[in-house]
Order: sequence, then structure tokens, then C-alpha cells
Amino acid sequence: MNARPSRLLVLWTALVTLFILGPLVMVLLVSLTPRDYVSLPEGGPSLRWYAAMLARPEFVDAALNSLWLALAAAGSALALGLAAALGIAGRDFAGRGLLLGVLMSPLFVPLILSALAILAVFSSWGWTHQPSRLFVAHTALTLPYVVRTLVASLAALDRRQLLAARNLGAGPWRCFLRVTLPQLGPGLFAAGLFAFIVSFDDVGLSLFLTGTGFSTLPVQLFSYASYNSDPTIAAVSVTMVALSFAAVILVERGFGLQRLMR
Amino acid sequence: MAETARADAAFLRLDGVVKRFGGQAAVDGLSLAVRRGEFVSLLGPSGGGKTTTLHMIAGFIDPDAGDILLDGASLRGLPSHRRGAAMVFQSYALFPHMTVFDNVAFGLRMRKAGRAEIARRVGEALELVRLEGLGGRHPRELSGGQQQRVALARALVLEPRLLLLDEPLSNLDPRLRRELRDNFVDIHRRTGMTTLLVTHDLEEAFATSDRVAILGGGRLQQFDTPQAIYTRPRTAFVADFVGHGNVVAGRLERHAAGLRLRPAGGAPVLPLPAEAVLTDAAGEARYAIPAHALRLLPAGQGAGGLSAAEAAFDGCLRSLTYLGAALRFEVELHGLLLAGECAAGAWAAGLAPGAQVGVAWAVADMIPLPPPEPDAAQAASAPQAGGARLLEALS
Repeated sequence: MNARPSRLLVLWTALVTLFILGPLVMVLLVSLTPRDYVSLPEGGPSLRWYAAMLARPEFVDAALNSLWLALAAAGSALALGLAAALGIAGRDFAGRGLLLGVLMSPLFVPLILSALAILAVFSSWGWTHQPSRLFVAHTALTLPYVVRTLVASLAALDRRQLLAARNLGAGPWRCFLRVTLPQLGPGLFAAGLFAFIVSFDDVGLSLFLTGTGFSTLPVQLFSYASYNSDPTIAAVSVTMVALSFAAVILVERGFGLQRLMR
Repeated sequence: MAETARADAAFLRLDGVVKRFGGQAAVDGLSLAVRRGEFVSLLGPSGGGKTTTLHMIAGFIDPDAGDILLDGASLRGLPSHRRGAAMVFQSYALFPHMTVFDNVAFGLRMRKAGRAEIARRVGEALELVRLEGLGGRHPRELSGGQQQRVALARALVLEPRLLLLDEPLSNLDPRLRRELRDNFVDIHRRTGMTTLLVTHDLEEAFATSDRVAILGGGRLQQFDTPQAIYTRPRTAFVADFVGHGNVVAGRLERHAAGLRLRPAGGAPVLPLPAEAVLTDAAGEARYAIPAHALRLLPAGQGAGGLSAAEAAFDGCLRSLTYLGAALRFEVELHGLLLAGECAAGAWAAGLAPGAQVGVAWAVADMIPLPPPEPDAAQAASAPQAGGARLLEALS
């Protein structure tokens, strides 16, 4: 354990770190440029593109839309996914594999196909309310992450604990509330985090289901970048990275990220 | 014996209990009567239906047929926690997110006991299992033995009518196992609680129990005291499970002086205890001579051969192993190899394999064995008789 890591390992680690962090550093530098186009900040840093970002209400609105959408989708995926995982985990019944497969299908059906299919169905129903149809689509999109994480968490539970609780007088609900749920805490948090990130990051589905009047941040960035090449995008990106960092630090302080990762 | 204690014999009664899983009978018509305050082991190989039986008594699964009665009342349809049968699991099944105190208090809280009563009774239960002062710890901070004692306290705190122990010691190392086993016996003596222990360990069952029920193939093979099971196995299954060595098979002969066994080959004719014996259809009988019953003698002293009470023969020492307190030896009597163990006396320690020695044993120590079963199907249909004929030897 006390042996010094080999030089090769140090070099490799440095390379991997650079590979991951390099682009972020680049984006940070670009966002600080005083010029009108994507470039390094020669002649001193400037915050003009941050000001430009805040001056564009569509970015702020889209960011808030994305936040509420991701929170709502993660919440409903958690509720549905927990119920599904409780039914599936540790049990064997006919159709179990099929059920799990259907719940997981958004993971392996190409997103563009899902998006087209959902749009076609919603259109044929005349469902045009963008926020609500995005919410439903994102719930389906994030459900597999929740189910998979929670099924794994539940599999790690000793089911004899539930027999013991029953033997000691706990009914099904109290078994769930006092034995199962408290031990699922880290799993629930991880599942919710996954769901939030997947929803917040999504472009594919959202691109088809948004439109004028309602947009999410990734869609807004995507369309802005399609028509403009100024460093506003970089400023938005850096802001998002900074917010993510702040969130991670808060979680680490509050729960202990190490504990959640176990 | 059942007649003299009819009322007590019925404290826990299993009546023709059947449980099938996918057409296969895990428990196949099991009847058993346990007395109040008795410590009984359900002993058998895995897959014998022991744990299934315990789970039916605990109310986790329902029997397909038959009935289970506790203190004269059927348990059918009664939820697990209203049966007064508290369970201790092999995997401990402690709640890892709760402290030791909260684990033990769980059942009391489910019963809406008051705060002061909970504190008092949890304290008493932890004292009973010698874990006082550890109430604030979490299970993961305790050793395996301590965790099992928490599980025991969690069951005992409810003052159940029946304590069910499902292989509670098999996850522990041998030394701890013996210590906890004594702990169970001690607690049983102090509380007088009727206790049912499921185990596959013969020594564990014998050391703890008033009576042992041997289960094999979902059926009761024998239900008796440890001594009776060891010295008088009723079925070939029980004999196999007890695992007697030094098995001698041969023709049964009646002599004026008593029964004799004539082994095949040139081995000497052996005197037999005077009591009913089991033979197979061909008149062959099997006996075991327990290793601890054999004594090693200087050559010549065993020449006498046959008397009613003692068998003694001269033979050839085949091996000698020094074990510290004891010597393990193998002696051959004209083709019959007997393995024994005796105190490591000074004279015997100098012997070398090949030496002429005598070997002796008390005839009464010989264990009559049921004939081996011709096939398993027949065995399952007649477990009590084991396919054997009872021969009244001296009548």
C-alpha cells in the first residue's frame, strides 16, 4: 500500500484527467474572451458574454423550465419506479423478464425513434400542451434509470428482514416504511439524481416535443448554437458547470457523496 | 410415554402437515408432538424439510394439508405475530439501519408498548443475552456472535410461547458456535421456553436438546432422546445420518449363550446384545461398534473370544495415530477392520503397526442397525420399519 505509484501510472492518470477536464478549461477560457467570436481571452478577461447571457431572457426562462421539468420528471419516475422495483425485486413470476424489459426499453430504443413515435401519438391525440407532454415523455425516459438502480438496491436487502418484521408484528405498510424504505435512502437518492440529470440533459426527446413558447435549456442552446457563433454558449456552459459543482459540494456536505457511491 | 403426559405432549402438535413446492413435497405428512418447556431439535440434511416446517409454524407459509396446534388451538389463518412464536434467523436478519436497542424494541413498538416498559424490557432482554451496554451500537459494529445474540434478544423480549431457531449457529466459527450453543441451553433453562432448533449438525442437536426429531425426505424418521437416536437408530436413514463407523454385517445365529453374528469371510463370530434385532429378508443383520467402546489390550489378553458381556479378540495393529489426549488405532481381525480411540496409555504409544494386539468391547455397547434400504422409493413409503422385519431374539 505504501509503494509509490509508478511513473507510468502517474502519467496515465494525468492524461485521463486532462482529457476530462481539458474541454472544460477551454470553455471557461472562451467564455472570458472580450472578442465577438469564439477565441481565447487575449488582452485580458472580460465578463461581457455573461452579461449578454443574462440579457437574453430566453436562456433564463429555458433554464427554469428545464429545472422544473427535471424535478417533476425525476419525482414521478421515482414514485413509479419504486413501485415497479418493489414488485419486481426478489420475486419470480411469469412475465417478470418481459416486464423488466418493457420498463428498460427507453434505454435501448434509439431516442430519435422514441421521440418520433411519441410525437406522432401525442399529435394524433391532439395533445399539444408542451410542458405536460414533455413531463410525461421525460418520466418514461428516466424510468429505466430509477428501476435499475432500485432493483439493485432492493436485491442487496436480506428479505429475511421482512419475515422478521412480520414475525415481530409489522404489517406490509410498516414493513415498507420502517424496514425497506430507510435502507433504500442512498439508492433512492442515486436514482433521483440519475433521473434528474438524464431529464435535464435531454435534447433528443425535447427537440421534438418543444416548440415556440416553451423550450428547455439544452434545446435553447442547441438552436442558438445552430444560428450563432458568439461565446454566449460558453458562458452558459460555464454557469451550468459552476452550478453542478455547487450542487455536488452541497450533497457532499449534507449526505457524504462517498456513502452514496457505495 | 406419550400416554403418561398427554396434556403436555400436545403443547405444540403437528398433525399430518404437508407442504408441496411445484408438485414436490418438501414436508410430507409430518406429525410431531412437543411438550411444554421442551427443547427439541429438527435435525436432518438440507432439503429435508426442516426450515419449511419452521416457517409453517412461524406463519410465513401455509401448509397444504394437515394442521398445526399450539396449546390446543389451531394456528391456521393466524398471522405470524399473533402466534406467539418468535423466530431467530440464520442470517440474523437484524435491521441494519437501527441500533441494537431499536432492533430489540421493534416488536414492542409494533405492540404499542409504553416508553418506560420498552426501556425496561429491552434492558432485561439484553441482559439475558449478556449484551448490556451495547444498546447504542449498530449491528455492523458487532461481531457475528453478538449479532446473533441481538437477534435472540429481539425474539425473547416478546416473551413468546415458542422460540424458533433456524440454523442460528451455522454462520459462526466452531468455537463461537459451541459458546452460543451453551448460551441457548442456559437461556432455555432459565426461561423454560419451549424451543425448536433447526440444524444439520448432529452434535449441536444432541448437546442442546431434550429430544431430537430427525427429518429426511420431508418425513419424520425418528423422534427420540439423543441417546436413543445414537444407540438405537430406527431407520437406515437415521443410521446413515448418525454416521456410525465399524459396521459389521453378517448372518444372525442363535446359540444357547445368546445371539451371534457370523460375518462373511474369515472374521470371528461376534457375540451380540440380547434384545430385538432388525434383519433384512435374508436374515442378515448389521451392527456398529462405536470407536470409543473399543479398548486396546496387550496381545494374548483378547484370546478368550466370547462371553455374554464382553467381546475380546486378538488381531493385528494396522495403524496408530497419536492425538495428544487419545490414540486412534485400527486393528484387523481376520479381514474385519475396526477403528477405535482410547486414552494414550504409555504401553500402547510404543506399539508399531504390524504388532499383535488384543481388542475388546462391551457387548452392550454394540448398536444394532436397520438394514440398508433397497431403494429410496420404498424407504419413503415405510420410514418407521425401514423395510425391516422385527425379530424377537430371545422369545
